[in-house]
Order: sequence, then structure tokens, then C-alpha cells
Amino acid sequence: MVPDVDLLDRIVGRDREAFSLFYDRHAPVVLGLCSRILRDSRDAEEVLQEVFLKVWNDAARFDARRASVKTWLFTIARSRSLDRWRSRKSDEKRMTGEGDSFAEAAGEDPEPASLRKQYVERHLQSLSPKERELIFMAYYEGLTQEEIAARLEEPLGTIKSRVRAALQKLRSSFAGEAARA
Amino acid sequence: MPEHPFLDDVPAYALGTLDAADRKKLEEHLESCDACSRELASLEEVVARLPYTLPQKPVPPYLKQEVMRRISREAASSSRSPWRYGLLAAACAVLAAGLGLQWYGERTERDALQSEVRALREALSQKDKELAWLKDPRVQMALLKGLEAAPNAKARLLFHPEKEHALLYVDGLPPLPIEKSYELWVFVKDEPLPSGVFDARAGASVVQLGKLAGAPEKRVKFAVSIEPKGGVPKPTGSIVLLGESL
Repeated sequence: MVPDVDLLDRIVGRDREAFSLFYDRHAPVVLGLCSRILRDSRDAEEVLQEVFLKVWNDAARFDARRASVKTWLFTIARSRSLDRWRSRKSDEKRMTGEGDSFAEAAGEDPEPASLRKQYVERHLQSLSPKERELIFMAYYEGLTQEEIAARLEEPLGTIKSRVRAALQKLRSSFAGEAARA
Repeated sequence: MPEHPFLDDVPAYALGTLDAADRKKLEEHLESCDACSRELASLEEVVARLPYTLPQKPVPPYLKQEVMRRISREAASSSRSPWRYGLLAAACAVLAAGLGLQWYGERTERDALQSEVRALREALSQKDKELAWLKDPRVQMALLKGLEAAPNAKARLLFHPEKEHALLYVDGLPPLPIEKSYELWVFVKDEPLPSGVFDARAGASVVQLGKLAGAPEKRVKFAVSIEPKGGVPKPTGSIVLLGESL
């Protein structure tokens, strides 16, 4: 399999075949990520297109010394999705003249537990429910640690420790899988 | 002071959720701390695997077609106006340099900035096209009225009989299911020719009337129909807008 970095090099040279391979390899995961954040398939599909257009236009900006290709790609996808999500929330707020129209404004879980559960696969099962919730709030909702602490009414220090513990557990879980492979 | 005073912030940094003030402190520390930099790199790899814990969705084929079409269009546009893209690239570089965007955590801001520059570039390009049309006395207008499927809809089409691009302004068209698109048709010798799909939510859409040149009709007829996503070469769906040039 051609490494991602080599594909990006070829994309810089305007190689459409390399871009096509790159798209086929990553589009399903990117669409899953965008869909998870936006919870709207039309918006997710639009952001997916923006993400890959950005790859086409900005491949030369990728710096392998700073991050892996996946980190770079998912950072773009997540950032674009969260921007659109916040913009949509802001529009809804303006149109309704109310505060946050989503359940999280009242401190509720924005997503039913049953729905969330379907996203959780084996690695996330290594986390406690509270740790999973923190990862979801931070990564998929883009909340800062302070915002998470306020929402959960927990001390900031506790939140920081839990987030760190959660990522360390995930690291162990991923490493264990790699060792078994 | 502990050796790694910001270690608890590294996970939030990797997750891209550290606030600006804490991010700045951590970045300053990272410049001189290999241990924290290694921890960050390791946690970033963990974070990069999070999307794989989500269910992966089959990606509709029309999305790839649309992306490939758009990169082709950008490449063509770029080759037509290299000076403009050179200037824009330089502007991006100057902006990026001016803001001193460094280190991992500032990627989000850099992405946002680039996104803004791109949006402005697209808006500028669109406005340029609109203005160029408005200045040309040979530009014609067609008015399209909604039929039974969308009786309140209407559209104006500004087109030049010798050029490919045209501007379509629509109003009152209902949003479509994701697997459908609105497609514009131009009638040449009574035959409908595909002239591009467009987003009903956009204020103005640039559509292609490449085959209009040479049409013998003095009054050119246009229609809009509902078609499968991405458009089709021959109309298959119901017509929602119909009209002709003035």
C-alpha cells in the first residue's frame, strides 16, 4: 500500500490518481467523524467535500515533522465540522431568539444513551462511562476543560486528571491491539 | 516549580480543546521540554485513532464525483488566472507568517484562517463574475416561473449568448432530499441540454451553458427539473421551473 505521505507528495504535484486513492482510503472515516459531530448527513457531506478540497489545495502545507497524515486530516475535518456546528447553533439561536436550543443548554446529555452506545466500540469500552463522556464532550463537541467542568459541576483539576487517564487507557488499549496483531 | 507544570494540559492540547491562554503557556514549555513533546506526540496518535472507533459509513459515489469535478474546476480556474492565485497564496503566506502560527495547537486557528481566506477568495471570484456580467450590454435575462411542483418558486437567469457561464438566481425552491439535485436545462432546437446542477439555498449559482452558443432561437427556453444527485444527461424528473429569455 502506498504510504499516505507519498500520496500527499503526489497530490502536491497535482496527481489526480493519488488524490483519488487518498480519498477512497480516508473518506469513510472522515464522513463518520463529520456525521458524528454534525448529526446531519447533508452538512456532513458538504464538510467532507470541503475537507478533501483543502487536502487538494493545501497538501504542500502538511509537515510530517509536526503530525501524522491522519492527525492532520482529522484535525481539518473536526475543525471544519465544529465550526459548522457552532455556526448552525448560532443561526438557530438568532432565528428562535432563545438561548441554546439544544438539550445541552440545560446541561442534559445532547444524545440519548442508546444512540451514543452504538458509537462505542471495543477500545472505548476500556474507559469508564465518565471517562467516555469526557472524551466525547472534548473531541466531538469541542468543549474546553473549563466548559466541561462547568457542565458537569466538577472541579477543573478533576476533569484534567480524568481526561488524561482516559487517553492513557486508550493508548494502552491501542498498544495492546498492536502487540496482538 | 515542578519539572512538567503543564503536563495535565497535554491531553486537552492533543484533543484540540485547550483554551488560548493555557495553550500559549504549554507551547512555550514544549519548546524546551522533550518529555512533554513526546507525550503530546503519543497522545495525538491516540486522538487520531478516535474516529476509527466510530461506525464508518459507506460514502455515496456522487460525493467523490463532485469532489473530483471541483478539483478539476479549481485547476482550470487556477491555470486561467495564475497571477491571482499567486497573490492569494502570497497573502495567505503573509497572514500566516504575520500571525506567527507555530506548533501543533495553533493548527486549528491556522485552519480557520485558511478557511476564511478560501471563503473570501470564492466570494471574490463569484462577485467578479457577477460584475463582469452586469457590465456587458449583450447579457440577456430569462425569467422562470414555478410550475405545479413549486408554484411559488421563481428564478432569473443572466446569460451571455456567446459565453459558457451564466448566473442563476432562484427563490422559493424547496430543499431537496440529499439524493436529489435541481438541474438546469437549456433548449436548443427543442432539445433539452444539461446546464448544471445548483444548490437551491445559494443566492446565486454559476451554471454552464456551454452548448448555447450557436442556438438559432431568438428567445431561448430554459427549465429546471428535479434529478438524481449530481445531475443526469437527459431529464428524467418533474419540471419545477420553466421560462424563456426576454
